Amino acid sequence: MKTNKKLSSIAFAMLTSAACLTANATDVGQPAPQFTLPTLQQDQPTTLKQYAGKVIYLDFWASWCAPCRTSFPLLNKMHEKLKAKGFEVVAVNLDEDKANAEKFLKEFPVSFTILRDAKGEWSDKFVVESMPTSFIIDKQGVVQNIHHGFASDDINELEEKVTQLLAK
Amino acid sequence: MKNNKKSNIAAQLTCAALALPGLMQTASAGRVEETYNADFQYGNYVESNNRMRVDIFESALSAPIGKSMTASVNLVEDSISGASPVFNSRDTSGKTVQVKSGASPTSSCGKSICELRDAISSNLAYFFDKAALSFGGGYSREHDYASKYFNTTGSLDLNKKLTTLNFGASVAFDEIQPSPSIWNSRPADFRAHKTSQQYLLGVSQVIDKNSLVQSNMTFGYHTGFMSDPYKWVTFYNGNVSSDFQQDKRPNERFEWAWLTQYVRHFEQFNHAALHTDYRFSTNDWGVNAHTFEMSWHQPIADGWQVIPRFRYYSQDKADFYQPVFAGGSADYTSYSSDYRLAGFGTLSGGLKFSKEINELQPFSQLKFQTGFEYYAHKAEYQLGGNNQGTFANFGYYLITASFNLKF
Amino acid sequence: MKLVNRCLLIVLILSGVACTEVMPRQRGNLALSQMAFTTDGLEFGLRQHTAFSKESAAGGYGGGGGGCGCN
Repeated sequence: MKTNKKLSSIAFAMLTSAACLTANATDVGQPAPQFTLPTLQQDQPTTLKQYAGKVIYLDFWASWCAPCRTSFPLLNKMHEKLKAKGFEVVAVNLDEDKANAEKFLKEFPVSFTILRDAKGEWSDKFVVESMPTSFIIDKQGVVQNIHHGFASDDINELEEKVTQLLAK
Repeated sequence: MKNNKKSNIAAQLTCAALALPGLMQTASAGRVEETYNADFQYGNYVESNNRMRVDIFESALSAPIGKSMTASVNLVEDSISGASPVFNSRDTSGKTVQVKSGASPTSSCGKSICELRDAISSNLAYFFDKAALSFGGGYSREHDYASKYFNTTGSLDLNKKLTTLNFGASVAFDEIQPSPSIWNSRPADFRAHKTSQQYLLGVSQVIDKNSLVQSNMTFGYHTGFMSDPYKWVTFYNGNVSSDFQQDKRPNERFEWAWLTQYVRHFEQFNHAALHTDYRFSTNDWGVNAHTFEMSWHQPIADGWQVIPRFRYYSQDKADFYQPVFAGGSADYTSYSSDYRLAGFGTLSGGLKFSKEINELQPFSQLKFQTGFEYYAHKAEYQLGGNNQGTFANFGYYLITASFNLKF
Repeated sequence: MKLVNRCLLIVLILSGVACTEVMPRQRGNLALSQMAFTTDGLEFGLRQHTAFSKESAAGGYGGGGGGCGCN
């Protein structure tokens, strides 16, 4: 009797945790959700469609995520290097308070596009499982790579993937 | 000094959980530590009535190794001097008084206790995607006491990193060689050993966007020489002193503690945070203790924080503790009059200030902190009241100052 | 209730409580330095060591012994 109770409570807990892991994640090989999001500074609506034919590095970030302090300067460099070949970096900010994002950008100024998804509506469609999470989208709008977190070494393999997709 | 620190494993979920002997703080950057850290701390501890005084100097360094590891090392030096209670006796009116070691002209600092303690410890932490593992060890030395310790900790993230399971294990091997003194009647070649083990199991949980809770249980087991080699116990037959022996404690102790910590964020108070802890601990020497602590972390303008703190502690006396004993030492298996095994309560309060500066080249962060705390140890503060041990009341203040660099 | 069962129950309850769904992108407040369980590692160690030298309780946070020059 006691073991049965234990087993059923374990089962219940697992079920409830599984339910929290929402399905419908955007996987590699699937077309990226066609978002429309305002830019952080000018509040100008921007769509994914505008970037058709280009290779996009879509980064979901926030001012409080420590690895973003490492990723931003490195992404900026990669962007400068490859933008002439049709590469764009689009960073979607998820801060609830815009002021924190602006403060972060003062510390880490970048030349690529910053959009804002304060309510997380689009990040939830992509399923951002950790902060930061990035998606590399090819010229046809299909997700080809998903990367969780960021360590300074990661830039090399990301640049390799981007260069491969630019060549296609 | 055993550095009881917690490892912050993730920045997005600041889940710390472990503090075991020799464990060091490794600050975090996401899952993997990518910055170098240097910490320096000074502490000044002064007891009331010209008792003990300690100056503490500590430094810690940590560095990332490759993509998934962090190595750290920690050095401490305590400079201890002053006097300390040695035994209790009855004065002419029958009242119990505490007798302290007097100033001894032969000690190098002109006081009866003059001691230097040095300790070094190191730690290696390895980070996986949803777990972390660390191994550490250290050595601490004073001229009459040496300790070698080893520990391991691990954590596992579950539930989309909302729940973290923590475990830890540590062991310490101590060697005691009491120095010759008027308060130590043992032969100069007397040596004793003590082995301590401690195990921790805990869980940290994100409750919502603004609150966290952590609950840990620890089990400790100690064997060996646990008496205080410089303390004595007086025995009375009526009003006449009948026996006088060195402190004699059991050579085994099992202890258990359960700590729960709750942290809550208040956006409306400029992102202040409230920390409250409650711990119950018990051991087979009969000491049950309650610890309650609360602190409020208030950010003020421009990287400053002010942190008031309050703590209440209460313990029961050990089974073999009495201020003075009746009869003779042969009537008891263990006996001690050490004030630390008595029933008492403590109240302490403190205030701390911290200032953080970001991106001051070449450092990615500088942090300065300084704090003051006053602590009062009184028999009458014991839960349920106690007016028997007031002769042992004392207090201390502790001042700390530190700075931390990240680069 | 046996100790093991009690521990298991706590873990299960806590994992159930988690389902007040906090998304990774909503953890900004939890990432603040004042929200860490230990905000100042070195100072925490010093205060624990001091308390351990003057009191009999140990553990929970770990409270270690070691190199106790306690008098």
